[in-house]
Amino acid sequence: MISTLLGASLVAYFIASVLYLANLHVKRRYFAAYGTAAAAAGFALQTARLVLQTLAHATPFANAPEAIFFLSWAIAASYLVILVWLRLPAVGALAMPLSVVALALVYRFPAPSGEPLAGDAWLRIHVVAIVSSFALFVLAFCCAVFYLVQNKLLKSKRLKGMFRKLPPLETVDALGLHLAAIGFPLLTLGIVTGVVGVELASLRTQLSGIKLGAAGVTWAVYGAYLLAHGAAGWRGKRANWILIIGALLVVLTTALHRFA
Amino acid sequence: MHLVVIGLNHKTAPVEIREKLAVSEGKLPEALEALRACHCVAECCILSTCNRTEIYAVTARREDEEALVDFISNYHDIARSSFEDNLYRHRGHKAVEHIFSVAAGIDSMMVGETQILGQVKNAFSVADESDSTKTVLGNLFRQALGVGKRARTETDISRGAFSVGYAAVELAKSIFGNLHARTVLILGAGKMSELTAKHLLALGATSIIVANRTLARGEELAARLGGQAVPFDSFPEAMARADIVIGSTGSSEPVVTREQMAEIMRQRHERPIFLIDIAVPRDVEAGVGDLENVFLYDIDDLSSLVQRSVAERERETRKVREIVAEETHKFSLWMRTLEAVPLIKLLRRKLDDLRDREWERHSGKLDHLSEKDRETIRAMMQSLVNRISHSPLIKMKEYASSANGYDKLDVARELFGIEVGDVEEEASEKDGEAKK
Repeated sequence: MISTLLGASLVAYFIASVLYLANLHVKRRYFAAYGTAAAAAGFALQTARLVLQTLAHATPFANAPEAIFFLSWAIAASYLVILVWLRLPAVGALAMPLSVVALALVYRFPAPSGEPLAGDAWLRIHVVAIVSSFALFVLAFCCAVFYLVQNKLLKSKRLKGMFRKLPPLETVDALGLHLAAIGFPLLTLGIVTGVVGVELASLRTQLSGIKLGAAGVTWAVYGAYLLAHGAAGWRGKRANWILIIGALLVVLTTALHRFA
Repeated sequence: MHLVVIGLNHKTAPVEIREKLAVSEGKLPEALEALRACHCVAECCILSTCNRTEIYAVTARREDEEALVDFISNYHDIARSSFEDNLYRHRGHKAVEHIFSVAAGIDSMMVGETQILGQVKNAFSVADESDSTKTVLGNLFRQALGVGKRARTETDISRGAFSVGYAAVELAKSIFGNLHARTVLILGAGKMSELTAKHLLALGATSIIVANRTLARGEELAARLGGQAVPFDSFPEAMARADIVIGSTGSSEPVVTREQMAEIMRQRHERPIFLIDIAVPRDVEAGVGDLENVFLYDIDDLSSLVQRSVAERERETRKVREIVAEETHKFSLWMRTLEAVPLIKLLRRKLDDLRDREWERHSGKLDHLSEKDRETIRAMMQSLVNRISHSPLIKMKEYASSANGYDKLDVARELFGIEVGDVEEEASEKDGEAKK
């Protein structure tokens, strides 16, 4: 049952991705509506799976596949919130494929051997906080990509086709900022709980040092972005490139956790 | 029954004539009443916009059209000869096709504009309220509104920019999202900049700053738009505050230089700015557009946007014509059911069938009669059928040529037990034959 829900949500997200991508290239609007229907269906299935998994195992998110599953769920959840709030189905053309990739990775991660650090509250807070922040950063990355594409189209005055479907420049710029601003304290919390709860409890290995380093660099990049955007008034291309670099670090940090 | 539209539009009449024949909205009920006073008019509706004045009417005969032309002449107190050459007349399915094309926006000066649909709706509701429209025009206008909606949802006839101002607004929306609480700076008071600013205001922009070389003129424009005027020389400070700048000064040298703009961007903390340069020669140095977060569009950029969407819309008219043709066919079919011909045919066939069936049933019992006697009986039956149907058929033809006769025809149809569906089928068969 639980694995069926996983597969079904993967299929639904995949369909949503295809429809959202098609939506950018056709004039008609109903592709976006169908895409949203598929995304909502996938999200319902995924939520059901999340609930069942949590009920079945006392410690959710305690191993790598579960954490990555939660990342996919959090990306979809944040995207749907943004959709309801700002009506920007164009963002789905990037957010949904990324959610699909995360979900597909669940199959690739090694199955957990036993229950690592079962019942550790620190670990749970650590995983939920870090993964939530990563989901928000992934969406900020989507915003940055749309910003850069839309900026390029507006500058070069190529205002055909996809241009009409892309979200307004200022809207994605502000959205990227908001997402990073919410993600940053979550990341901070995640790192602190990680250091306190996990690293100190277990033996200091070289790997955990690298992990911590990667997380630290990620933290610094988003901190710098917020500072630049807020205090120094950095707008536009440069600021959005930082969001893209940050997202690459997120991927790197996640990849390092695979070996945890 | 005769359905006709008589009128003129921007293609057939110059504005001097159009403005004389226009009927303002407030006077519509009165005009409709005067029109209904002609006894030959069973139903009527007047569509009057700045580009067209048209009278849709259902009358008894074709000759009654003259009464409609007389009405126009009398109502506006203008000699027939001064406008008769500009009039077009469309009858029957041509009239149906015409109102459908009008509602779909393909008969408009600006193809695909959406205003006309509201005007058609309005014309109909005024006529409907004064009971000037009944079955035929009621159905016609309701279907026309449907056609207008279909054209706009199923095709791209109403997409894209209609004017330079509109194109500028579209661009502003893709930069800023909503224009709520945005500040617009006008450099150089002019008609074009005023129009563009009005578009922006209509979409939510809240404050307007006008910087004009002659302060008094700037103040005038600012008062009209509900904004504030500043001395021309202080425009850089205003630019640091504004989100959208419309340049339309008559200056022969660029007013905004790259250096100046770079400084302004620093002051704005790099907040994006949209420069609409509609002045010729241009007000903004071309190099300004290379700066980050500055989006500079000149008059040519905007005009090419408009031209492209005009071309796109014109390509869509073919699809709209298909919709119009399809809907016209549907409506014409329905109109046929109001005519006498298919009904008469059906009635004849029904009576002939009855005669034949009765003969089949009883002829077996008449074998003892001679062939000649049998012929006499058959002739009697035929004569009876003819005599019974004679008067109803004459009356039905009469109804068909009177304005409101379709109501009576409907009663006749019921009395003889003929289904509406059969009449429709009969009418469409006739259509098929006509096509062959």
